[in-house]
Amino acid sequence: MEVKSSGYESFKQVYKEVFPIIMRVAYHVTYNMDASEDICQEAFIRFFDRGLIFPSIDEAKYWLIRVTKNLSINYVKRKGREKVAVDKIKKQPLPAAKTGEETVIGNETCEMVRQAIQLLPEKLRAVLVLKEYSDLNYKEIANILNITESNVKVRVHRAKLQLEKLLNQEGVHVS
Amino acid sequence: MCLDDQVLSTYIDGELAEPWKTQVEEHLLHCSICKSRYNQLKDLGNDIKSARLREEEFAVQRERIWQYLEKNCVAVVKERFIEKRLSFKAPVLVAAAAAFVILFSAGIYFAANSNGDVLPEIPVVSGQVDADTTNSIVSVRATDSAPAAMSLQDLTIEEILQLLDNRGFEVDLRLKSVEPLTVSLPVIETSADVKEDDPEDIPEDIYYDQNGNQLTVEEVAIAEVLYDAEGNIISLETLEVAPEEVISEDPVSENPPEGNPAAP
Repeated sequence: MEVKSSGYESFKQVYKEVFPIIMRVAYHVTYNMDASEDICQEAFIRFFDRGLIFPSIDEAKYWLIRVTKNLSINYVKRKGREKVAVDKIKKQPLPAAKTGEETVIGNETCEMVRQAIQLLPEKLRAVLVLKEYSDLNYKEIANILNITESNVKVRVHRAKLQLEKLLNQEGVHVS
Repeated sequence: MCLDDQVLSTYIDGELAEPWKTQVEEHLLHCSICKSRYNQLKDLGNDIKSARLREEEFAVQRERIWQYLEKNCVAVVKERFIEKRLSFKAPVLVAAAAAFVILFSAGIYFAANSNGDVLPEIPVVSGQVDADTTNSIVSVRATDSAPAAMSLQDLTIEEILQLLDNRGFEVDLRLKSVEPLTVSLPVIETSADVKEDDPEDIPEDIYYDQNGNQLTVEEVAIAEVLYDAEGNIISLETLEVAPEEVISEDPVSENPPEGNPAAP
């Protein structure tokens, strides 16, 4: 089914199906609810304004995920730079990136994992988030990131290993 | 021989193809070391999955963004394309001029590509006219069975834009008085046109979007971004601050630091 990004029905359907996915992408990359909201809104505005035609809803989904992921990574980079600048001035150790409001009630493991993911380098983070929170397979991730499938495979695994290490350090890994 | 982590990880992700999948399954039945590592990775995977942002955590945002989009985007699209653009607050004249420019450049493009396979051809008066000179061109067209006989006038602007877009051209219909979001870095000067409503006590750093709404710092930063035809983003900031980062950002040139994915 052809999807027209400026068509009312298509747009509505895409929003319904794809919003949860890109919200998760934005959130798990930025771990900031307000930023995620802005990013998702921006992604859909661009989607609409471009007036693109996609051969299937999946293709529209990949486009939106790609844009969302890029916006999210940019946000993280910018935050990182700001943080480095601020830290230089304050000469403080890196604080935990969460404020009280953003912390969502959940079990301890959930919180630890979310914090650990924030410590991953952005390339590993993006791949892991796409794999674990977007219900995409290696092939789709490769398509979205424009890298090879085996590259995706390696990165997903490396991300998991790093997480394992981080979680074990924290001593919360339940096994 | 025992299984390495990478294979187990791929297996857990459900991405291991046959015949390896069956081999791994058989191996796990017999090898307690691999089985225990498998369980560790499986638990890790479950831990990671448990951190997934849940539907109820973003229900508010979902609703709020939809309301915004419905108000600012989709509600408008129910009208015709041109009407939508004209109903924008800019004067009709500007819009008409923009439309003319688009038509004009599209015409040039069509003329230059008249042998193209996708684009409709501008009608050529066929031999029928010679045979029966009393026929008007209109009736020739009406009886002409050739499906390609359509003119530019038969296409809406939307279709023309679509055709150009399909051919890989970056076409953007803009009204002159409206500042696009994707402007280059020195936005401050260009945004001056838009903020005439309240020229006095606006600090320099305030930016506006197409509708005149004030942008937050985040949005502005988002606006300071260029993207290519696929929607991939080239960060201007990155370009200026650290050009070497851009090179490493290029997904094509990206390679895993260690080449062999299955290396033990």
